[in-house]
Amino acid sequence: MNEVPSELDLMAYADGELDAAGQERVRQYLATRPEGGRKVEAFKKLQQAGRRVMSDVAVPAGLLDRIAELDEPAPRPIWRIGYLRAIAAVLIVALGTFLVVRNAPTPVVQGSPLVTAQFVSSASKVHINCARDAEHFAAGFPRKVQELPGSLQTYLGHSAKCPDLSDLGYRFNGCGPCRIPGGKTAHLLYQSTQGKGPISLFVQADEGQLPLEDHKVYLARDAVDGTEMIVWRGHGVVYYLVGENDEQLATAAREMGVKVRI
Amino acid sequence: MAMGSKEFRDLVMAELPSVYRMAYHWTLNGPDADDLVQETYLRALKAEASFRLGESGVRPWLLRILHNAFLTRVKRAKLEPVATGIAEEMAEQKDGAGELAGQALADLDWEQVDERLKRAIQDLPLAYRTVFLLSSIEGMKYREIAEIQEMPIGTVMSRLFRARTMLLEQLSDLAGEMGLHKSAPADESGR
Repeated sequence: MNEVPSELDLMAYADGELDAAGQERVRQYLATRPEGGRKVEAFKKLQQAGRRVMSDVAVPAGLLDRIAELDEPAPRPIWRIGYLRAIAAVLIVALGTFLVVRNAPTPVVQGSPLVTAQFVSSASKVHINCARDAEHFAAGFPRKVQELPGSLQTYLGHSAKCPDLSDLGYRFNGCGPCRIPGGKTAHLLYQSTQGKGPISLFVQADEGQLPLEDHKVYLARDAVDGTEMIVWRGHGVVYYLVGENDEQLATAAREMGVKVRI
Repeated sequence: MAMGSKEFRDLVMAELPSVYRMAYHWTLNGPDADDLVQETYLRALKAEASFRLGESGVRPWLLRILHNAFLTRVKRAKLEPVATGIAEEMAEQKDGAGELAGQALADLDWEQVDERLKRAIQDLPLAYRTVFLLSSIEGMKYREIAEIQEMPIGTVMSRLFRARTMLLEQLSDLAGEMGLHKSAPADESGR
């Protein structure tokens, strides 16, 4: 034979990962090199022994039920603006308030009472359920994100930014009417093309439902499922970005011209 | 291939033993594994719309979610550093180590090394433990492991080789210490 197989080739041979030519090359080598055969045998035995000693892990009782509960339908939204404001005063869970900047990042201001756990949890459930309901996005909004601003102007009474996140690995999946706390909402959904969780962008007309300060961005997290939310206001609308990774959300916000430092 | 929600749910739930097993071996801790698996399924159920059933089934997709969730936790908790480029180079340079181990272990009685092997696997650095477990226990192909870990196949191979070399070296030491070799036929006939 012309070429001596490497150790990695022998391992791949033991694992059945070589193509026909590679297998033949190794077979020829092994025919005259018994030490190579012992090595291949050791790889196989180790593989089998590893499976034998590490496979006896049983799923704990109750885990199946706990996972089944994860997928229960979300309760019907019961939010009203006044109710939201009332609980905002007592349920403080926002992890931090991030000063947004138009030109340069500024220091983080910690602790915001504005975004409650229930608010984030509610948005999180809508985020999940809408992502699984294809009909939600068949309500007459354009299917192309570039054509969306005009429709939102009609629907919300305000123009809104509708980002194209394809460069970040998120495909625009559609827009539908939604109900998260605060009133009439447009829900834009982006699905990951890389197996990550979806990103939702909720857009509402700004009617003072949350006492958000101009030029600030608020970050909150659902303590139960870890869903992250970034909230800010601008030009008559309130934006809520919801997903499972604060860095991805911050990147998405930057795509919309909002500079967020996390 | 499109599928309904119930079909999707049945598919992912059928993989629970595999997902839990990997979570357990990564976290080395039952409650943490339980928590990690719940997080994984929550993420998976959220991402149902993005799943497309291919020839590998749902398991690599689920394990990738599990792996990402686990790495996020590791990163946050700074539990254990992942292998660096230097470690990869070392793996390549130590190719010759397998030769010694392979020869010494040729007639090792593998049935007697279970506990030692288990500990040795658990003691592997995370990056090596991961590829070994995915390959050995879950029977994943190199290509599937590369997808789960989002790395080149060459890196998977070098890590897997390094993991096996480390394990074989430990078992080789054990064989030397305890004489854990199969009895030769000549010995048996001589009794």
